[in-house]
Amino acid sequence: MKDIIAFIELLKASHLFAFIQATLLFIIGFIIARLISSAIVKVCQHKMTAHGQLFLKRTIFYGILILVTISALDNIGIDLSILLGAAGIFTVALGFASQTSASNLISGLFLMIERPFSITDVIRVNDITGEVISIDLLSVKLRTFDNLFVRIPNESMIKSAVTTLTKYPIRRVDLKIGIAYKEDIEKVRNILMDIAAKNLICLEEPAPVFILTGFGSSSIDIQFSVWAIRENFISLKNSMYIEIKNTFDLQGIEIPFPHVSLYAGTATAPFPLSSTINDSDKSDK
Amino acid sequence: MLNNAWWGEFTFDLQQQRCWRLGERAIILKRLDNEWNSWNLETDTDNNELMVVGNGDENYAMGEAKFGRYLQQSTSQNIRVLPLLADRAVVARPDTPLTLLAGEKSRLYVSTPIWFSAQLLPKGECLLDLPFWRPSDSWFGPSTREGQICYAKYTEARIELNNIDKRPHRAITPITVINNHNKALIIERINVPVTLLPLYADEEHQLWTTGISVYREGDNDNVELHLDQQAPVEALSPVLISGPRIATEQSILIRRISSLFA
Repeated sequence: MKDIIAFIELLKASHLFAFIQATLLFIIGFIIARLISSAIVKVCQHKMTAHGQLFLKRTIFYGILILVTISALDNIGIDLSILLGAAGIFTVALGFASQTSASNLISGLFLMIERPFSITDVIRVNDITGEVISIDLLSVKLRTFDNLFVRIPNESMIKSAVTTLTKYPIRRVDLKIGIAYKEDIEKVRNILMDIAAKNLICLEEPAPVFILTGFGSSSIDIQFSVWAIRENFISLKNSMYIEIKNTFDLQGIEIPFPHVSLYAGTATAPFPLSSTINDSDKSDK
Repeated sequence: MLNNAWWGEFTFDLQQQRCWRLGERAIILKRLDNEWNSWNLETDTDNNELMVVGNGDENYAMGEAKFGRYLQQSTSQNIRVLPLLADRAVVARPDTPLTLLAGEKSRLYVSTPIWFSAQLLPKGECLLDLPFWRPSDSWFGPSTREGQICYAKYTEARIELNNIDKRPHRAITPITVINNHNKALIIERINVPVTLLPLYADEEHQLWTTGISVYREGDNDNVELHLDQQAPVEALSPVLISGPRIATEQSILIRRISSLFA
């Protein structure tokens, strides 16, 4: 018995005891921080957006964790003022070593404050389009439409142009159409306006826009812009193209496409062309 | 239930079907042991036909109809069919833009499309809620960033009540605009907040909503929107058919002028 008490006394005197105490404090603090942050978010999840919830959860979690860490360090006997002093020199060294991470970290903070997009928004960054599933301190995570997980560092989010596709409730669909030179442009314009008016998911206001973009190499190029609720963007694009093709076919309006003619020159006779079926093909059948 | 009206409570026996028909446009409901079936036969454009409630035995192109199945452990006998106003605000435009001079007052009549709604009794679960003719989507607001999604098409706005066709699938909303501003008010389009309005039927089964009064005062960009509490005087012996889709306690709403007129 005496031996055990003596051992505990020895343990108390040694650094190991303080270290175990600090570790326990940190682990309990970590669990408490997680529980409290989740509980608070659960209480107010109906009043906040997904983005707000994540932001609140992170703030509470890291806030508690920092306090617990300070208290744990204090327990071991590390004087924080000395540590902070030492940190000055240490930071310079660490700064050089972790330049990218630090840059991402600062960019992440700016992203959280500026809020150009929030979770569940659909964004486009450097040709990558996807739904934002999380905004973290170092990176933003996207789920692309072909169901891939993409991690984009915050630094590149700050540096490059980010398009938020789901910011406003309505979007414009730009339809590129080419018609043959012989067609009556005014008639085509009326047909297009009529198709847009009949399409129920095409917004009446803002009105469709007809732009003659120029005379192309084989067609008169037209841009016909119509508006839709953003959820109907793809449906409108598809339905308009289908209706335009069908109506043009009905009305006899030609949609030209580049033709390739093989020309052998005037000096020579045209290449003789004929199709023959191989004997081997015949025998197969 | 009003006599000869297409709405009200309907009793269905097992295997019985009923059909609400406006010319080619038809909605058919059939009761089975443990499911309801619906056929929604749509047409491209609206018509002026009278509503006929029949057994749906006529030869319909059922193959083209949108078919729906609604499961219940054992189907209830009664169904309540109601006309409802649109589920978003509706935009109407007069034939030509109107200019309401400063200090003047005018009464406009706006006709908006009606939805067919069927609810199971006694609990009131929604079985169907669909428009006779779906209006096209539209946007109403000062810019493409600010505004609201609403409906357009199949609407009319007239100064004379006689110029509006009375149809079973449309409701008429009287709007009184009082312009106390020192500038004229140009009305090209009107945004009618139909989701806030209750629906009445008059003795001829024409559908009416309560009236709206719009007060434009002084040098302000805001307008006061007063929702009347009673059926309009134009509706003779009105009967309340259905309440508003969105219930509001307030009868006076403040709106920006750009959210009502354009």
